[in-house]
Amino acid sequence: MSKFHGIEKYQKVKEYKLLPFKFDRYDQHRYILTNLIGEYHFLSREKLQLLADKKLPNDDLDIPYLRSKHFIYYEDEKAPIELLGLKVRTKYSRLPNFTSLHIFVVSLRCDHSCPYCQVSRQSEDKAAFDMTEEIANKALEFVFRSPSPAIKIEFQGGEPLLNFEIIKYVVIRAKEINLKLNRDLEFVIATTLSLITDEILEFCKGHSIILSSSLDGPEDLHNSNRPRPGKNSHQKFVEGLQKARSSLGFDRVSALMTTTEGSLTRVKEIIDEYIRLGFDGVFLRQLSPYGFAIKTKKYNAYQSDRWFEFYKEGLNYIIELNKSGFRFIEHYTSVVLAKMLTSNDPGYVDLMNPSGAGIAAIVFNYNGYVYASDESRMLAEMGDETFRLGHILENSYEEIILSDKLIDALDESFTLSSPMCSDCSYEQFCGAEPVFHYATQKDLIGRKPESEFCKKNMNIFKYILQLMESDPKTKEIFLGWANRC
Amino acid sequence: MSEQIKLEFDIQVYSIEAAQKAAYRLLNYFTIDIQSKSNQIICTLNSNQGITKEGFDFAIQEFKKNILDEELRIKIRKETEPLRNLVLGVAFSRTGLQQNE
Repeated sequence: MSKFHGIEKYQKVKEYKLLPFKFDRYDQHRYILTNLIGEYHFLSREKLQLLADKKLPNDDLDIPYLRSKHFIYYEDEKAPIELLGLKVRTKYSRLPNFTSLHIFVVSLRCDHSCPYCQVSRQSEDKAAFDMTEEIANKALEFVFRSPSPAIKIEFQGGEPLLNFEIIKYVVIRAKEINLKLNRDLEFVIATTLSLITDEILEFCKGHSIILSSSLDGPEDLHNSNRPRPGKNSHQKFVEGLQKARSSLGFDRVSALMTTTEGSLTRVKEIIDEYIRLGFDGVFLRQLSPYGFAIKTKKYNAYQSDRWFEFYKEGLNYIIELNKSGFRFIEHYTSVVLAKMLTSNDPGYVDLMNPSGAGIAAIVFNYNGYVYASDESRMLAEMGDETFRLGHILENSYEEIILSDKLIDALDESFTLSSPMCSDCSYEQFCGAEPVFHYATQKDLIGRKPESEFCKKNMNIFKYILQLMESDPKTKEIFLGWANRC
Repeated sequence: MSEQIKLEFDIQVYSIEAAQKAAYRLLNYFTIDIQSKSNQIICTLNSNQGITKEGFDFAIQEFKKNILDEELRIKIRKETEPLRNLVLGVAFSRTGLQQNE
């Protein structure tokens, strides 16, 4: 008699049970299945039917994967439900912390006149377009009502450096308030860097302020996208970048790009320019359907399909760079990968559910009006005040945060109950975007088969999965990106 | 010129909910009128303006595949609904977000 049980002793003979999952056709032969937190697996239609009918044999090669990824469990097991619950809690751990990003629009005035910009004004009239101390004080009271242990205050414009006095005031006042409240406080200035001076940099250094800037690509493209007197916006950016890096530190200045019609054939040149200037990644952003971008017909100049070709070409180029040993990332892809490959939600506002409007980020406009998101105030600049939540001098924190405008937007756009999204296997990677859908379809939920947001993101999700499935080396690179967020 | 087709499904096999959900995914291709008569679900599809004959044919095929998928989704959702609630309960049971009745 053997001292050991035979293998059959340990083989499950009981019927497995299903855990909640969603599925969609992925290609001609396969379906993609995703569970409650976005773990995914591919099966043929036949196997999917067998799985649902509980007829997939226990020794099938897919069974271990389906168990480890929480698609099935056996009745005597408690751990899978506990573990899945823990992962769900991790995924939504940002929610109880509420608003962390507070955007102060300190001036609408700007020295640039970008045709796609939603908000800037070419004006010398400080009184008309600058934030006052009275409004800043009230906004700061609001900021510290947030329960979030980490608070980021971002100064935007126009060109916020045109009202640097109020930036200084807010930073110093916020730090005074924080002496008692002890939050993890962070400051960012979104600036073109054209007006940066030694005095400004000294202040930024003294208060650990990060600079977020804009670079649209090579000099001619950048200058054409971002006109200013002297036609030298690129030169001003490069000079400002060098100055800021040597003062604040190399990694204290980041850059964002905006894709215009002129960018679409030049993605490699754009990436090369980012590399030349020492950045470790690029964010291949699509133009938003708000404000002047629509007014000047810049948004309609290209649609998601053309942008997607641009994105694919750029991503492929970046992957090749990584394979050759040069580490460089595409930021939007890395956000999506974190959602696909980890239990963490990177908290990117466009890809949050419930929507990040108001509860992840909130905007205090120069004139005291409070908006649910940056996009909401851009929409307001077009005369549509749908997402104006109140006025900082007239409404309380409770009136603003509990306003029907915000609650309705969050409630109606919730993807777990929206038509099509609730059944979509890519929903876990995606987000609710009430402002986008309102801007494009005049509907908070939006008809997803006609949604450019849905189309763009579905294309991206499928393409990223396809790249990982077809090339283990790419998957290895992507795992590095996912765990970077 | 709008194309039209009438499709019939056996009500013993398919539900109206599955037909509705399958059609919703394709509302950029066609409008639909769904009727239930005796043992049949009758779906009348009219192509949207600007949709070509080829586009409409593609959408009809997709609709037929979708309705099968939707039936399977309904089955899985029905079976896993209590577990979904249990997992969400486990997930948020220690967050302090619930209020006692």
